[in-house]
Amino acid sequence: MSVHIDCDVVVVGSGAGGGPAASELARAGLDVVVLEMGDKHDPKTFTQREEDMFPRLFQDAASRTTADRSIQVLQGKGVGGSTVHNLNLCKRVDDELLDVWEREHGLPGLRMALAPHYAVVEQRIEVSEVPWDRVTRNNRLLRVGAEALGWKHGPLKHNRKGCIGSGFCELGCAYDAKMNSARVFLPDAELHGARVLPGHRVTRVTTALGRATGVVGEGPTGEFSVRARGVVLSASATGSSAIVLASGLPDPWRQAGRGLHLHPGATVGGVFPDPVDGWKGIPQSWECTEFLHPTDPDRRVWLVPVFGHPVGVGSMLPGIGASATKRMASFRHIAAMTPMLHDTSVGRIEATRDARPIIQYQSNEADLRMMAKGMMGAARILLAAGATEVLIPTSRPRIITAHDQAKALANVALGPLDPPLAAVHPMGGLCMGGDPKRSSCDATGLYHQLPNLWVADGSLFPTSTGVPPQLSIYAFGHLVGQAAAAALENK
Amino acid sequence: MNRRTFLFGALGAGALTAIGAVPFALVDEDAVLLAAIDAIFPPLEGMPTGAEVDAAAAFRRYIANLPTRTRFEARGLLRAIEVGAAATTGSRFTVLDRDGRTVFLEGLLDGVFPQRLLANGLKQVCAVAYWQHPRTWTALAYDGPLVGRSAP
Ligand SMILES: Cc1cc2nc3c(=O)[nH]c(=O)nc-3n(C[C@H](O)[C@H](O)[C@H](O)COP(=O)(O)OP(=O)(O)OC[C@H]3O[C@@H](n4cnc5c(N)ncnc54)[C@H](O)[C@@H]3O)c2cc1C
Ligand code: SF4
Repeated sequence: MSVHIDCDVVVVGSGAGGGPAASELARAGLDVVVLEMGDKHDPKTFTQREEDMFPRLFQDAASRTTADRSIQVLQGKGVGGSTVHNLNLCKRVDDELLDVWEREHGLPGLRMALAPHYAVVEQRIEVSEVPWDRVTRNNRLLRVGAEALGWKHGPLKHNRKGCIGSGFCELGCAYDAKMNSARVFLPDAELHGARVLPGHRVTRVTTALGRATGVVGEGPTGEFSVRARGVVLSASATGSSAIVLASGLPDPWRQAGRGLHLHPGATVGGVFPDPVDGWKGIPQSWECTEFLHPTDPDRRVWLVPVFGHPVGVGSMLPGIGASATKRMASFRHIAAMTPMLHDTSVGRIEATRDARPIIQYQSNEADLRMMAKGMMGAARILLAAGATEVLIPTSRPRIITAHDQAKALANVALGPLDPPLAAVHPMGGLCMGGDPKRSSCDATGLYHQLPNLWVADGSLFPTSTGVPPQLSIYAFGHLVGQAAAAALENK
Repeated sequence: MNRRTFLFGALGAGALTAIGAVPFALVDEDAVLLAAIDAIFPPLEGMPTGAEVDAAAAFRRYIANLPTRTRFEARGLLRAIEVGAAATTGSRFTVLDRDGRTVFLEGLLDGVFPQRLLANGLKQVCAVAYWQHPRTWTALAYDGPLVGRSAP
């Protein structure tokens, strides 16, 4: 059965970008429809089982990868998008990097323009520092190790309220303690009249006479079409590009899909004499920034604790055979860290005809060298914190017990799947910029080639952010929502 | 370079090298999965085997949620391992003893990219099929979901 909907503006996707964009558009009095391909989640039904929650919360049941299968790319689906299962860290993009975006990407005034939106979303999602009594042993070990080495480290901020420290964040919060898009922005949009429709996957933006006229796609009961005066794409850094490409939207300089970054990360584990119980409590609350700088090409790796549950840890720990089972048996005693790259490798999104993303991305030499440096850093922190052995996930696993061995890691040559990498921060694809020959959107998210199509999600970033992106995506969602509302109200 | 070129290439290489050894279509996927779990995560004393936690059923539940092509690849992966072992060691994967299977898989992990792809994919599949079961958690002292229990 074919369904037709009319509205002022249709928002495609309901995550960190779509939520605030929809909320601002609805607050402006516009008739807003939010189309979300995944389901509406009820936190009370979250089971904290990987087997159940991966298919419910993640795109492709968490099996999404780059096209060559070398990097796992985790992204969310469902009302709230990736903010339902993310780890709630909140960091602004550093001013120095925003200055680079202004200077080198033709975005003058961006930093000043963005500041009030950061302030509003920080207040609405209640960003605060993770209190010390909630900093888990896994995180405290990072602090101990970094302190012993004299490396830069510090506490992290998050957006949780009513958190009981269960530690199951990546499987969705059964206690609804995340101040995310699903809890904060979408209910606000609905309060102001927006309709949020789960189970609606957009396959194409429709156009006529040089304007977007709406979208079409597949819904719970068959095909649907939406006619709207404005279209906002918030289907994530992979999904929005895929829709633009599959729709064949005007793109004379073939910019759509370009400029993809992933922040790939590896997992380095350390075995400790005493229990760490890494899966308990708030997963990430402390960081080491010794090797991270927003613009220094030689310092592009962030060190942060990581852990998971048995399936995740079983696939993360290096090696196979009796040694692999023995390591799993020391589950309680393992602390783990991820070196996450502020990547300069540039990938691109391609699309199937029905707007499913194909992620083309390969790490460049500089990034592989930086990853080796990051594994060195993680290994040294773990050793300095008292690990008896450190597990390096190269394809032939390395077991490190001394700092000299750890230092040598910085010179190890790495390659695809050596080590296996995972990425949770895709960004870029429909990048902002002043020059339509080198970018897809302007500083308000407006697609250069159509006067009433906006992008409000992680696609906009012209480089890697080097910090977790959700806060900036919320802020841009808010900014783009207001800009689109102003443009549509004036029509 | 895209997903098809790589994984299908890797699967194809496994299948082609196995012509005349084991017909790709006749591989018993459940048997390969259980043999792989036994080699990748050999149970320590007191730990259940893959069969005891019905890992094959968990694998089927898992792949039922995958996109069609990925599901096809996951099943093809098991088949490629069986025929690939036959082609390179002279014995099917499921016929090799545990040491033989481990050596074969370590060779893949140490090999060229498509071989690493197969071995890593297999490890992921085994982790999903095995460690999801609560009976495997006892040995880890992992206390499982907290829902329904009091806050920590
Ligand atoms: C495990 C994990 C942990 C993370 N932890 C953090 C963290 O601690 N801090 C941080 O800053 N970031 C974190 N992130 C990243 C952060 O969650 C994302 O960067 C952010 O949510 C992206 O926002 P977005 O709006 O671009 O996309 P999303 O939030 O992914 O939302 C996009 C939505 O669009 C929908 N969609 C896609 N295609 C279509 C279509 N064709 N039709 C309709 N709907 C569609 C999707 O289903 C999805 O719901 C984490 C991510 C993961 C996976
Ligand atoms: S740690 Fe807090 S936010 Fe995360 S799942 Fe548990 S209660 Fe929810």
